[in-house]
Amino acid sequence: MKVKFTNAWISFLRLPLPLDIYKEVSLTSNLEHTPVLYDCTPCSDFLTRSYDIGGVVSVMSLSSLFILMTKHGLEYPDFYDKLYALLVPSVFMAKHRAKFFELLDSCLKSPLLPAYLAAAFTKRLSRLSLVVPPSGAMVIIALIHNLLRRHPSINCLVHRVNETSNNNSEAERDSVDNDDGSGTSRRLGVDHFDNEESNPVKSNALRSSLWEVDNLRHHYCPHVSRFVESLETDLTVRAKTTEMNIKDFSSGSYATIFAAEIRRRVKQVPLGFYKMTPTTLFSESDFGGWTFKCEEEASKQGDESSSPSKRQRTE
Amino acid sequence: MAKTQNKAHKNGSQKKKGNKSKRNGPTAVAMKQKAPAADNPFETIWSRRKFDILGRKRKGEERRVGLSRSKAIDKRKSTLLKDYERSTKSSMFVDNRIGENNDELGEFDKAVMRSQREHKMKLGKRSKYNLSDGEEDDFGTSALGSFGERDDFEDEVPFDDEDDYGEQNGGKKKSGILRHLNAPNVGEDGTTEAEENIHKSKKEVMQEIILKSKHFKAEKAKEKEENEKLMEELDKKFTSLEQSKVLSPLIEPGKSALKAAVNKIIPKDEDKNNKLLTAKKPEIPSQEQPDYYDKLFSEMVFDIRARPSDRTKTPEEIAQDERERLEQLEEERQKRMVAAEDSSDEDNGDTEMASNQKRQSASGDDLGDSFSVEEPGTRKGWVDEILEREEAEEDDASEAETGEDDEGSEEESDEDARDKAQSLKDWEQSDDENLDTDLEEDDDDDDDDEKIDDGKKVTEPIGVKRSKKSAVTKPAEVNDETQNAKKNKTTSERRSVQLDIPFLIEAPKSMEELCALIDNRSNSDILVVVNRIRASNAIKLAAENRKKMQIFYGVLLQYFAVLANKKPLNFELLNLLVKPLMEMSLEIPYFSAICARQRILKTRSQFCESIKSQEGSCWPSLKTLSLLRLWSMIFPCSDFRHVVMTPAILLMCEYLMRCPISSGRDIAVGSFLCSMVLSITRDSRKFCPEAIIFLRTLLMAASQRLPDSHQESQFHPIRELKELRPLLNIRDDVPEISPASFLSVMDMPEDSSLFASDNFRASVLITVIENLKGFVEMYGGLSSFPETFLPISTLLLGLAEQGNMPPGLQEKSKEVALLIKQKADDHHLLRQPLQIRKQKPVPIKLLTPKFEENYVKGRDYDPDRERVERKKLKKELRQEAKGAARELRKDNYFLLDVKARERALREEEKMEAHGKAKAFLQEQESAFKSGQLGKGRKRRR
Repeated sequence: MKVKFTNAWISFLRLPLPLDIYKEVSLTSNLEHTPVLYDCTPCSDFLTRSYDIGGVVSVMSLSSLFILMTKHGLEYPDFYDKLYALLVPSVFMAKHRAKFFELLDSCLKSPLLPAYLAAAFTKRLSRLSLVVPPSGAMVIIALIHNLLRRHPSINCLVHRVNETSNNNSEAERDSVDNDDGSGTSRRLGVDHFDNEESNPVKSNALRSSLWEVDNLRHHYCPHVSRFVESLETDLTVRAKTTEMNIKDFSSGSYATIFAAEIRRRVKQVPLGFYKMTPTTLFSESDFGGWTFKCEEEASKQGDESSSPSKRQRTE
Repeated sequence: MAKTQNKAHKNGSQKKKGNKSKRNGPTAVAMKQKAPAADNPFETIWSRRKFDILGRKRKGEERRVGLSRSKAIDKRKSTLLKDYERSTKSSMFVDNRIGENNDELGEFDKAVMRSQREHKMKLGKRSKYNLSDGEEDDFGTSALGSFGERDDFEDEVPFDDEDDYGEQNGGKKKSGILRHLNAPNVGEDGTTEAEENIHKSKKEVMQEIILKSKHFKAEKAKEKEENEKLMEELDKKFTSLEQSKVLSPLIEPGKSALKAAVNKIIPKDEDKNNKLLTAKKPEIPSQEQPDYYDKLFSEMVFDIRARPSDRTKTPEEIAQDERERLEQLEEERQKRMVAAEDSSDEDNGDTEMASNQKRQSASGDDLGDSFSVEEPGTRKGWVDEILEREEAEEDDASEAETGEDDEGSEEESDEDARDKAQSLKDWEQSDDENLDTDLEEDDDDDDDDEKIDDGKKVTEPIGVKRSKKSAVTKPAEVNDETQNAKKNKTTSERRSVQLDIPFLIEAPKSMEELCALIDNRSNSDILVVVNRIRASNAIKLAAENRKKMQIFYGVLLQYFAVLANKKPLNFELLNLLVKPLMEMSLEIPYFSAICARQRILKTRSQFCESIKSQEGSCWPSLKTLSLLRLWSMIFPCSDFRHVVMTPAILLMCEYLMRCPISSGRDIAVGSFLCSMVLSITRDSRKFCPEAIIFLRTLLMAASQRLPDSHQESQFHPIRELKELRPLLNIRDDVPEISPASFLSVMDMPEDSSLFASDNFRASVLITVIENLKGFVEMYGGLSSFPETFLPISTLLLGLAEQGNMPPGLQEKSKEVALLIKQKADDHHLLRQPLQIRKQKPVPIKLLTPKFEENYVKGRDYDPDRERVERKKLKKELRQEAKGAARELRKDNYFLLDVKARERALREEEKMEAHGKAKAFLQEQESAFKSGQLGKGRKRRR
């Protein structure tokens, strides 16, 4: 019976499926069928195919692929390259992001990963933190925290102590005077990381530094800017630190952060201070490029501005 | 030491026993058998050094080598020797008889105890056939520990001691001795001694403390006495000086000069006041007086003293005064209303003037700043009204000319009324829900119950009156219609009615009440009404006014929101309302924060619903925008975390991130939201990725060139560039760019032709670039500035190169691109790799030599504590090892000694046996030789 079901399922999967069915199938397959199937290996064809498609479908197929790899010994070359390519901003707004982040964390769990790979993932994530909503930034910080803890070798991304640093700061001082040491210090400031490179080997991440994390300290959301401080503890000392649980952050969204903020008790209410109480709602000095004229004038202007365009169009 | 003490004690006790035993016959016999060995003379010798040698350790100086040696030997005898003897035996005999294990008991004592025990057993037997079964043994094992309890010596009459001891307390003494001999009792003695030591030390400490305090007290008293003495001396000296009158010329002028200096300032102020208050003040002919002092003096004679009533008024009193003034004005107005309506205008003016005068003639200390706002307001109101009346007349004239316009305006006002009703309902609903959330929150926040209660009360009446209100608004609508029909004719009449704004106004409790007050009034009148409500219900006047004001604040905020949504927009009134709202929230900050939070929560849930339903645009309305702006003005934006501003900015960023862009209006609103975010984050320089991403998306949409696929993938799927592109692409040349007018944009419907015009696009782009510039300047210090902004600069440059861009726009974009480039270069030059790990500061190495006071030669002055510790442990270990080796060696010697003695003993025995045998043989031989066999032998036996 089981064999029959497996055969039927596999033959169905071999058919060229349209994209929406693809999504449906890959969503259900990881939930129900993988444990039921008699032999999982034929399924891997389908999964690898869907993983290669990229975007949402590959995110969904990732979980079942992960099961295959860990429990059934599937060899998948370029797995990490594909995973690396999946890290785009849209993932942080996608529906199944919670699952994806957990899987990403468990995929990167092995301490045997080469340092360049871990560094590339770290740098890619930190670069993404510049464009994602606060909840995404929280997940990214947690992921980076775990990566830094698992791979002491990539801690140079956040803390680089080289003998040249002292010399360089001196050289920099010199360069202010006579512009000689500018070459050396320029080499330090430039980010060598290539974000558009799809191969993590070539991304040059180890020569870079996580300036983006420093940026997040000034994030408007207090949760994020507080959370960044967790990266400041020395994560190479494994005994004193613990891994972050990605599950705590992976399902975050604007709603969760907003709710947490609203749920806070109102203890004190500081008020703005003005030498002169402002009398207008919108002052033009604050809003460059906008005018706030009174209704009649504005409408008159609007009429004037719209009428010629109308005329132009009719012409 | 303790051991030796014990030993000494034991010796002592033995000696005592010896003394006693001399008196006690049988004991003496027993003791003699066990008499201690004579003292070894070597044990009494102390090894003492004769001379102190400098720099040599003096540890362990006083020892009795002989004693310790003999002690060690004794110990070995009791342990090692026993073991040695036992080593060849397979079992051993354990003697558990009573007192056998107790060394301190003499033979006699043991015998006494045993017999006693036996006696007791006999007595205790219930029947004579009851044999003892092993009890004796039990007793024997536990005899040592529980001996004291079981001992009933004291009760029994001692057998035969009376004759020796005499009758007085013989038995007790005996038992005392026995107890003294018992080992546990000795131990007890020891403990009591230790306790005594502790007590002593405590006592000493207390005594020390007492002594110290006494010492301090004595010193204090001494000081006091000294001070007093000094004072007395000073006094004496001073009196003598006074008597000599050396100082007298110095003192008095000085005093007067001082006085003059002090009073100079005060009288001048008072002068002015007095001049204003009373014109009676006499002029002083000052030119005749030559002396300045005299002049001052004479002036002061005529001065009126400052009255105590002239003190600075408290805020409460000022509020009270204000209310009284308003009451008075109201009274006058009522009177005038009864008398004649016509002259009200002038009368009012008169009273106004009078009040002004009155205010001026108030005390000089009155700063009069708290309500200076109001006065110009009222005055302006009257002036404005006159102006408006003129305008109305003009309107009349113009409307008479154009009938069509008239109709249009009617329709408009109709819509207006309907809109208003709708929006009212809207707010009511929202407030209704606010009530629920408030209730929930009430459960959460127990500590701040009162204030939230207030919030509830605000919303309650509104919620209750909802049904009523809908009924009310419909007639109002009808009313409005009819009124509008008649409007033109009746304007002038109604104006004259409206002129009368009551001076004392109860704070309105609901929206209708406020509307009833404010409806059909001019902007300035509304401001006057609001200010009067605030003045007549000032919180400082009465405690219950706080509640009223809170309700009024809620209503006013609602009115503000409704006003912002109204079409056509009364923007001037919005602006005018800002100030009272801000000032009121200064008075009730907590309540205003709660209001704001509830509204933000409500707005967000509405936004979520609209995003789900995907109908219409989910971008914020003018109402939301102006409320957000109002809050950003009331509350500080630069706080790390603020109860209102943090949710507000989260909401704004969510708008920017999640709202789909479907029309030109959306773009305009979004870019305006960006500039609002900019103005909020400007002070704190907080990083807000959403706004930058939004601006970047807009720029991408504006550029004609297709960005490479990778860049596109950087953005979210909800923003599809293809859809965006037609909205911002400038197709034709735009001759000049007018700045975008926010209000007109907000006013337009979504499908207005305005949004399709290139002119609009250009102006929106201008705002986008302006915003970008602001962000660039603000984020210039952030460490990942180049990564954030360099793609944007390439976009800007691409935009500038496009063909049909207006020149102004090109310039602007180039300028901003250049700015970005400069800053990025700076970063590339100066940026250092991160070093965010916390590190302990390393102290600077000091080069000053370290000197040790009271240096002792052999002592270890190692600054490294751990090393010292390790050294100490090592040393201890070495010493222990040495000691152990020594002990083992001595054990060996001891054993060898024992073995040698044994061997010697055996040898001796052997020799003796040998000698005997030899002697026997020799004897036999000699007998044999001498021929007398057996004879000698017999004789010998």
